[in-house]
Amino acid sequence: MHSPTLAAAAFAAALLALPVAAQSTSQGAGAVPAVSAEAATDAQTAAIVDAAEVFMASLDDSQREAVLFAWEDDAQRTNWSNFPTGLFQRAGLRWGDLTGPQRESLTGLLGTVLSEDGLRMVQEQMASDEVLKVEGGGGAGGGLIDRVSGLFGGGGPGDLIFGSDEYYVSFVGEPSESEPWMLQFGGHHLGINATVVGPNVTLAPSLTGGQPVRFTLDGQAIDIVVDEVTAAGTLMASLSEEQLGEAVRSETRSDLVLGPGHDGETLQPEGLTGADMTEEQRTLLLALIEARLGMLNADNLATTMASIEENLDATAFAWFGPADDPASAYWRVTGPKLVVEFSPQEMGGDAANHLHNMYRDPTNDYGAAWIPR
Amino acid sequence: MNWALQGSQIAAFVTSFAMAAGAAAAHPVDELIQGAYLTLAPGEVKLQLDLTPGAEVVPSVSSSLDPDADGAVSEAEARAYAEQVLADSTLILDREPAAWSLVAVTVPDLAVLAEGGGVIRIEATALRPDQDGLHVLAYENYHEPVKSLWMANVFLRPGEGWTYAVTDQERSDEGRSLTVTFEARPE
Repeated sequence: MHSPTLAAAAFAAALLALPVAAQSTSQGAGAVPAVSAEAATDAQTAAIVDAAEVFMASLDDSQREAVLFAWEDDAQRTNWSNFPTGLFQRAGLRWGDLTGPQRESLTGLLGTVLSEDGLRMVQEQMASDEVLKVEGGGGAGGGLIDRVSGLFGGGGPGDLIFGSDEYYVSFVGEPSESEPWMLQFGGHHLGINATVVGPNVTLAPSLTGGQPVRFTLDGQAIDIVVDEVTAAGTLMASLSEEQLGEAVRSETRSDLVLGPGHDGETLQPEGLTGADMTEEQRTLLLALIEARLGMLNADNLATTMASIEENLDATAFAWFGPADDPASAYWRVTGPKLVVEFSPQEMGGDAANHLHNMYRDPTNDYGAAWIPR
Repeated sequence: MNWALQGSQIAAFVTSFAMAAGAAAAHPVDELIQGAYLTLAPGEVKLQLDLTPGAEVVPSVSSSLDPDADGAVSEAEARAYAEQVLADSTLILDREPAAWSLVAVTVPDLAVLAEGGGVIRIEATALRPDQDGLHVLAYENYHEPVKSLWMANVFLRPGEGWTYAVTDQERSDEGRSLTVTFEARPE
């Protein structure tokens, strides 16, 4: 198992030790009102907007100008990617340019939009990219920088920049409890796009992933997608031979289909549908879906999952790759209310250690269903 | 998308550009990812074929893109490359072969390709009649200049009084081929 160790303990302290805002009750720079599990959706949005205003208040004038884009700015709305800086230029404010209190406020905002697990995943992805940076782009035998450098005659790695500093925050539209707006936070292998429309919040479309996926940080073993891989394996193990015949579409893994640049495209449901599953298997399918969508805060997640469950009969699970290796196989869930892709990718090394994963809602990417046209 | 571009207009759209990475979704190293996006639309099947060469296999792809090795991909070179790639695929509609017509091709700067971050995008169309009932579309991609990962997926773009519904999809194990059964209905 590829298990690099990041020596910079200070980095861990700076990144992973930041407070999870939804748990915070202090009134410091990153503090936002706590939201109980029973709170109404309006209270959740109010907490998110409050957290956004705390972050905005921590910025100077030039930073506020840089971070804020007009709601009508579709170019910025779709300005996200899996690529690192050097292959893709994000806009907004760079994590590496923020002060400590500003980072704390931003973490507070992310922790209000996302769940505790979701925030942890984001932080782990940033830590993962720090590992990639320390290792020079992927380590021996799989190092992107080494490989690219070789193609340039050993003259340099090009302009690829890795590391936790290279994550950007931006707003499309001003944070509001009534008007639509969007929070973007992304970098290499990460594109969180949270659209807020009144009491509603969606993360569609959002990209997650990482390289490495498994690593050791400050002595702690990290596996960014352990819940998802476990849930996928459990669902597969529950299927009968006949069901596997429907679910397994190919023994060769696929690649990500609906990544950045593929807005407005809808995969046609394929594989084993919820209608052809037992109640126990349907529960496992929902658990798999929630393992991904659970990065959203609990309040908005409940609404999202209810809609998905209503359409479970028409929601299909499809598998591409070895049936006995959930960490390196591609799988997708397609239905009226979601498309989820889990896409390991070989970089000349372990496919299970390099992921591009997507969540989309065919009816509601960027909150399209909530916004009058 | 520039699906409306035809004939000589292709040349105007064939550009060497710093690929908007938003259109790219992968950066493999030792393989060529070939992603076919097939769209059923009124009167035609649209093909968007995204070719993403990993950094280690770029030299092989670049030599086909830039046969005169002058470091730049001309419009003629890009078009010739695209035609060659399209010729390596087949489309059969209701058991009748259909021909691809090249609509556009976009090629990143070779330097961007070399970093494994560029996508060569070939857009083509094949005419088909819209008729009420069940139909079968079979696509297969034989293009394999280097180690490749193939994928093909179908999308729907109803309009002009027609709706479509996919009733079955079958794939070959290595991902080269996709057979789609679909129903066309007048609205």
